[in-house]
Amino acid sequence: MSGPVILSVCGKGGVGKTSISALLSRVLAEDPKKRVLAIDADPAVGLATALDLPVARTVDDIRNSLIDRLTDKGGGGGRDKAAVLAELDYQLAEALAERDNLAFLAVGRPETDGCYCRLNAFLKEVIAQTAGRFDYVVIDGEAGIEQVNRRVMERITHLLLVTDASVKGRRVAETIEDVARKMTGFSHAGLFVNQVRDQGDVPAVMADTRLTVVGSMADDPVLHRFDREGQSLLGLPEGPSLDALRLLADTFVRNAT
Amino acid sequence: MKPFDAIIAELREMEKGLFARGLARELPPAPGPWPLAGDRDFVMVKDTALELGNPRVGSASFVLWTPDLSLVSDNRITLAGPDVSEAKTDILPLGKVILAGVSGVSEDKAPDLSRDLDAVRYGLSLEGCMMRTASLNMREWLRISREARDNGFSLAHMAGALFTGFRALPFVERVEVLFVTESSELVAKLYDLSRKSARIGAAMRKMSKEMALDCSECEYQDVCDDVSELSGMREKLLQQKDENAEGKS
Ligand SMILES: Nc1ncnc2c1ncn2[C@@H]1O[C@H](COP(=O)(O)OP(=O)(O)OP(=O)(O)O)[C@@H](O)[C@H]1O
Ligand SMILES: [Mg+2]
Repeated sequence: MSGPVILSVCGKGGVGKTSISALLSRVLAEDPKKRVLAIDADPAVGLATALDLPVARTVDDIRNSLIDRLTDKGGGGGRDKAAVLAELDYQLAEALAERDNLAFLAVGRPETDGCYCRLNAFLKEVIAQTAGRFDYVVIDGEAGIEQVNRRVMERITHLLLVTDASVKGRRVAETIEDVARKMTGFSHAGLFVNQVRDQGDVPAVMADTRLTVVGSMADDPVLHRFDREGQSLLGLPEGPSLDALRLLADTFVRNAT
Repeated sequence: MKPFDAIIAELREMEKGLFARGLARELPPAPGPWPLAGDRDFVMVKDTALELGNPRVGSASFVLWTPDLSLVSDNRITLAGPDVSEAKTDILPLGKVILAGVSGVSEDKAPDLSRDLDAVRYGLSLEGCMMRTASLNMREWLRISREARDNGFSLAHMAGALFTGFRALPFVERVEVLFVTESSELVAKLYDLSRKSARIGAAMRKMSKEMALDCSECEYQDVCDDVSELSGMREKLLQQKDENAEGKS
């Protein structure tokens, strides 16, 4: 058995990363035999809303609660690695929200320098191990890429770069791809053009980037309405947006061309 | 060195009561070993037949060891409450106490011993049985998949795997396990016992790690006053430290 597809959705702010992560998770989870893990790496936890899943605890909450308890005062002083890993695994299982074959994990505030580094290293190990138990892992990667858990990042197989029709959008995508190339071993990278308003948008992007365009999605008034009303994208009716994501799932994620 | 003997005595009292009320019974050993899952298994809710020790209903899971081998009935599996195939709901509380009879453990090795015993618990991974152990507060949470249940998974299988794991440690002579799935109240009682053992464990870890060993400053003073064994351990450690210091100068 090969490892899971770990896909990170990255790009400039506001280009549609969260919407695409949610729809892609939904589409991938349509196969009941596959397990999908959606990871929200954005402190604003927009993906939870989009997937209508509760955020009881975030990875950051786990870290904070353990920093206190792993001291002598908290009764956990002198614990060895196996004990701490077991504890983290338990807490992570508690933090996972599940609905059918779709599970969800919120990262919360990204780790900062100077926080309890032994714990962070272990957390990464446990998250990576958890990710390994799924078929697809979709990471809504906030604007950049550095914030995301490095240990999971190192294992990224698919980098999905999202842009709108703007020049800035594709330059940011290219920069992220450069950074990612240095720190991860992804095997597939592709550019997804979102919020397409004009027939000429996609060809214009293609003509001005070294990245491979792997899909596009039109500006969708129904998506607009769902966003305005704060509705979960799980309820988004069949239409061009879902079609675009299904095509992306087939051609880019499952490589079933 | 028998820091947990008083807790074992309390446990036996409780067990006696459970047998007297007809709530507990001895389980026969499983017919064979249960297959191991390579990586720690993850059973999703949708594939789960039975959850044991879900944080909502409570759990208590801990190891007690003693050099007094007469206190441990080797290979015995006791169950108070339904086994996997007998569960009438899909969620049950879980109490799990492992008793290990050990030999050749000196005072200074006691903290390592607890650590090694715990590592066996954490490392256990059985197919279709997701096990999560919160080491800091003695909780354990199991999810048994439909497939595992349909294939006859029983707590006796888990006991068998634990026996094998514990016996692989050179100092373990006897192993016994007690499961409680009967009610959250009973599991809460076990949890009280687990807290006591946790404090003893924490006091031992602290002693083995700390240089000062100044009792008046220590938050585990009450534990050491209760468990005279710990004071003995402290004496030994102090003595060793002196010897080391002399050796160096
Ligand atoms: N194809 C589309 N058609 C219509 N609206 C869209 C489309 N894609 C995204 N949007 C809307 O654009 C806005 C930004 O989308 P989204 O939150 O998914 O972007 P993001 O990249 O995650 O943003 P951020 O960088 O703030 O996390 C939302 O209001 C969303 O509903
Ligand atoms: Mg977003």
